[in-house]
Amino acid sequence: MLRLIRFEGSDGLLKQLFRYVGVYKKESIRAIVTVLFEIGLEMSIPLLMAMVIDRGVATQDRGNIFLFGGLMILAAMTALILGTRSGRDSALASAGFAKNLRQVMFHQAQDFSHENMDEFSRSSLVSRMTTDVTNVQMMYQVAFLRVLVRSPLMVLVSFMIVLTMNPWLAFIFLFAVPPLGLIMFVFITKAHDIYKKIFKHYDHLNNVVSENLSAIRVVKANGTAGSEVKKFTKITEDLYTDFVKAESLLALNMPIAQATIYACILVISFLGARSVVSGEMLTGELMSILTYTFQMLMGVMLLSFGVTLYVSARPAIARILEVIHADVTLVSKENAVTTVKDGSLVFDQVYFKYHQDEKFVLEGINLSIPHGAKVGMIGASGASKTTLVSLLSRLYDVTEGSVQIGGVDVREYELKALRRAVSVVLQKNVLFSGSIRDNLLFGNVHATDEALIRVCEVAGAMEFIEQLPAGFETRIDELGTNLSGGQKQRLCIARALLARPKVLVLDDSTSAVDVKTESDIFAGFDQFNSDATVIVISARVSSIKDMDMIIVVDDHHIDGVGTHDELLACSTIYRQIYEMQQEMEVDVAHEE
Amino acid sequence: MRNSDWSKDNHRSKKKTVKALGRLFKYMSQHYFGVMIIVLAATFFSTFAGVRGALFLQTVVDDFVLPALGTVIMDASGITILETPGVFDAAGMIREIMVMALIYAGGAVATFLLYFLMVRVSGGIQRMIRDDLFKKMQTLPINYFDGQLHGDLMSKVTHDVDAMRGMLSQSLPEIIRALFTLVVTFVGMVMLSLSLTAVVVVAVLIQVCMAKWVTGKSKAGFISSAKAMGEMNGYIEEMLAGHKVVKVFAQEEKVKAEFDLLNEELTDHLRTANRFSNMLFPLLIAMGQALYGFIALVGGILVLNPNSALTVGAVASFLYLSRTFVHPIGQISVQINAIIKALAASDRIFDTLDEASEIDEGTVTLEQSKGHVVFKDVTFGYQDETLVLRGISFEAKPGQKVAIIGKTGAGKTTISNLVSRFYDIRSGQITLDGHDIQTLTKTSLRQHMGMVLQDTRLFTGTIADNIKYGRPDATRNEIKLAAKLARAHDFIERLPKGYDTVITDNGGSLSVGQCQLLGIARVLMMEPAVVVLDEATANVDTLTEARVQEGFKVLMESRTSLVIAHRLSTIKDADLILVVDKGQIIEQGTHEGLLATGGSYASMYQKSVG
Repeated sequence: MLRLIRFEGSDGLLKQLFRYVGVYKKESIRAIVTVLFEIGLEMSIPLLMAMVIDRGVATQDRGNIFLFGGLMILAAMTALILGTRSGRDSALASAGFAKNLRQVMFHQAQDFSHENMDEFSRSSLVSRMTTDVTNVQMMYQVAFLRVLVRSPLMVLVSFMIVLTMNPWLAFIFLFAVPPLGLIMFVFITKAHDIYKKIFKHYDHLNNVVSENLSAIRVVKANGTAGSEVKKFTKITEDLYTDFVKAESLLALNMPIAQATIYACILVISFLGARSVVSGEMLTGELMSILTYTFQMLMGVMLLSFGVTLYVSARPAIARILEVIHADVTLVSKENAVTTVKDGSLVFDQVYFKYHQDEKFVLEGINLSIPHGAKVGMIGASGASKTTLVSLLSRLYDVTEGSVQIGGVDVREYELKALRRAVSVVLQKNVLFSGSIRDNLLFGNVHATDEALIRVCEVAGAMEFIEQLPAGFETRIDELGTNLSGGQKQRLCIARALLARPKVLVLDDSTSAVDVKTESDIFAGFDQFNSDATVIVISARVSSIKDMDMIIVVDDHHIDGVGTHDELLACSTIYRQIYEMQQEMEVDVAHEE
Repeated sequence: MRNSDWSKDNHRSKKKTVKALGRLFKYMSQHYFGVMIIVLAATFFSTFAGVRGALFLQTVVDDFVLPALGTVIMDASGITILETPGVFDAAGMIREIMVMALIYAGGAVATFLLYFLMVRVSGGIQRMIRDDLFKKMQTLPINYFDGQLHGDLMSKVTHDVDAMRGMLSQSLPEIIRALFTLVVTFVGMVMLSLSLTAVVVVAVLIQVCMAKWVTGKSKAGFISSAKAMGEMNGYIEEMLAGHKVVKVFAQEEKVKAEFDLLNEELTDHLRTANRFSNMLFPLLIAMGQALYGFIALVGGILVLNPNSALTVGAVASFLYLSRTFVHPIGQISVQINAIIKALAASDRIFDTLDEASEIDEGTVTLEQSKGHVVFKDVTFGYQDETLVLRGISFEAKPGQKVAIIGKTGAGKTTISNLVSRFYDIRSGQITLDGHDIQTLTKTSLRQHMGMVLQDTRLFTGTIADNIKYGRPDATRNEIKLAAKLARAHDFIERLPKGYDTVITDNGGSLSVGQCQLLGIARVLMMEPAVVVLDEATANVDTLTEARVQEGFKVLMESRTSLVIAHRLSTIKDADLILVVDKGQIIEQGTHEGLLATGGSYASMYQKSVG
């Protein structure tokens, strides 16, 4: 019993969900109202039938037979018109509702910070936006706009009519209907718990498929298709077991309902026959009571079907709302600053950690970089270089201290304005499916063809684009799998340049490009956008040794700042790296 | 963003739908033949009980109620001539009710059995098809994945399979049930009254026509919405994968707008599909009601007609039967709708299952390999496109190191892909230890090949799981040894849970270099005779890079190696240098040899040494 109360009490969920019906409320209400009228007309039909028998056939009155028979057909036809209209409206409403949900979720996901994205896994987000929304749409259309409106009314009206005809017979229903409803309800809630588990299995399933799709080469190279299949079949086995468990429970509903209907019909037949014999009731009335009995119990079954739909969609609803209600952790301030004055950068006593209960990954960072400076950054992997530059465009917010661009704390800027001004070429970079042009325009939708060509020249991408038969219109497969690493990097740089940023950050973005091209690219920056501040994170001393300023990052703090020669003199870490690379003769002899 | 030849698809769709249905039945008869027989029998009994119940009404009215009312015979002026008192045969009625109760109880049990079994059948087939789909995926050639949106494939494994299961667990039993009900009810109706049956048949024909019209309208909508759904899925998947890039360029609005377009398109398809499919149910219900009225009217008139043998009880039973007769028609139409939807999904599934698998005509299993690789005049091109590689010939003797150098896009990676037969060559021959690699089974061939690519793909699981990926039976000590050799041990030990640290999201929490070290350890576990390496250690800092280099060295020791080389030291050390340009080997030889010939390698070298 406790469970039931909890179940009833948690309906805040629906209220929150139905907010997103939005403009489709009108269609929804229209659908419900027409269903109400439709059901009213339908329910009058057995009553009219009783009239045909008792006032027509029994009294041998042909006129009455035609009158009531005609009325029955008229009622049915009107119900038909109303019903189809309501069907149309509910299709429009539910498709619109699903559209709204998908839109809200996708837009929300776009606004998510990295922290938010880490919270939901990608595959889970995808299934929330697709499978879950489809489930909710079905539930809304079938359960809320039709079944849950129709079936209680069917039960109620049938009961009332039987009550007026023969109160004693109506009494029987009180013994049959509530227990039936309760049994169904218990089964449904039990099944609901299992469905929750099923959804988890689905997340695993998605993850395995997704991983296998992107790592198909690894699987093939290792010949591990067999063990991957085993991994997968384990999940499908769990799915099977739980599905069967849940659905077996629900499968009990039908025979139980049937048994109840049958029992009612038998009892009513006997008692009804006695009433007719004793003159308390007419033959036609008995016939219509049996029809109403049938309808009432059909109503209960429909109701259970509606509730099942709702209950099995509940986890989906919760998962959808989780996404919609997630606090977007990084937002623009109100009355935020919309223009970034220049590219001067200041880190003032910056401390940063990813999660509250973790250690700081940046400690006491103090830096001041003048506008237009060309800065190199070097240090061991895991030294937090990427984290440091992530703070510039507010991919994360500092834990303590402040980061300023153009003399203003980055948190004061409107996010869009800030990110337009700071272009980052990410370490793990991504191109999208679409043409090369589409991808470049991602940096700046309004760019002209001349600008495209110009940035591609600077980024050293023009030479290979020109050789492609379709040039800028060449399609890039999903995640850029048909380009080489170096080509991808050059496109990513071009894309970033197109935004004409005040601060340009290259996070190890030229690693797959040869040294000569790299130095050409760096030289090109100067001509192209000489007043931008440029920060280049690189593993190669050779790439950054001519920069105005080099920052050495080590173990979460800054080890030294200065020119190449200064650092050779005063930073042991820098000197070590330099010497090691001299020995290794890094990257000299390829490409050109 | 993606085009398709829709009209052609439509053309074939009908034939394919039938075919898909046939294949589903094949799955069913192969694995659940006996169960399905029981299901059919149970369905039959369950419907029989219902119809028998309707006929029981006639018995009640004609045999018990009416006789009990007595008969009154009146003359023309309404004066009673004869009045026989009624007798209510209570005991007889209870007897009839007991018989009926038994039949009903049997019906309910049959219904239970039917659902209980169908849940298992549909769940089982869902599982089988899903497994088959995944297994198929594993056998598809690499170029199949090159041209597919991952989200689209994922939606096949999840969405489409679910739609199919829905059909098996609901639509199919309903349809079988409905068909039985139709037949049994029809027999019952004929027994009661031929003329009323004629009325019902006409009405039902009208209904069927209407239902057909409506389903026809919604069908196209369902097919196109399944497609639109796949497309949108793909878009979501891609944009979430590129989430950081979207952020960095502050292009959220553009992405949202593009999504909205796809979303709108999908909604349009869904609307059309559902608009018509939703009309069906009310249409059929109302038609049933109209029929009910019509039967009452015609039946009433007929009862009054002295020439007709129709009794009031028969009309009562008939009215009841007309309900059970109309209901299945509605069910069939609704379910046909669901089936069409599910078959559209099944089409997509079977299409994937029918894709040509990676061909493995190889029969030779090579237990041990010396690692002797020879390319003889190899040409290669992707699908219909022009040749990417031409006249590639070289020999890597066991244990030799071959450095492949050349500009980006010259074909270096392609050469390395061919050795493992990710793609098949157009002409020429590649041999391993003297066997044409096409004669070797792929498993056996790939077992001797190790690859470390620029971007290492890891799987959800512990670090240890990832290292022993190719050799699941490896012991913890072997894993540690491999990790030590690959120089990955140190960083692993520093992780909070060491080797048991769980990696998710392709090693999201590890650096690229660390992932690469794990990739090296993974290959070391396999002890391949040939390794293919891409030296471009993208995004790796000097210290890690030094470790990766050491790892590579370990990997190349006493193995044949094909290295996409970026490092002078590697190149100088190589036993053979291949200079690749525009898909051809323009020079090959040792460092000294090539310097001596004074070709493009020599000038390249001079330039870099400065």
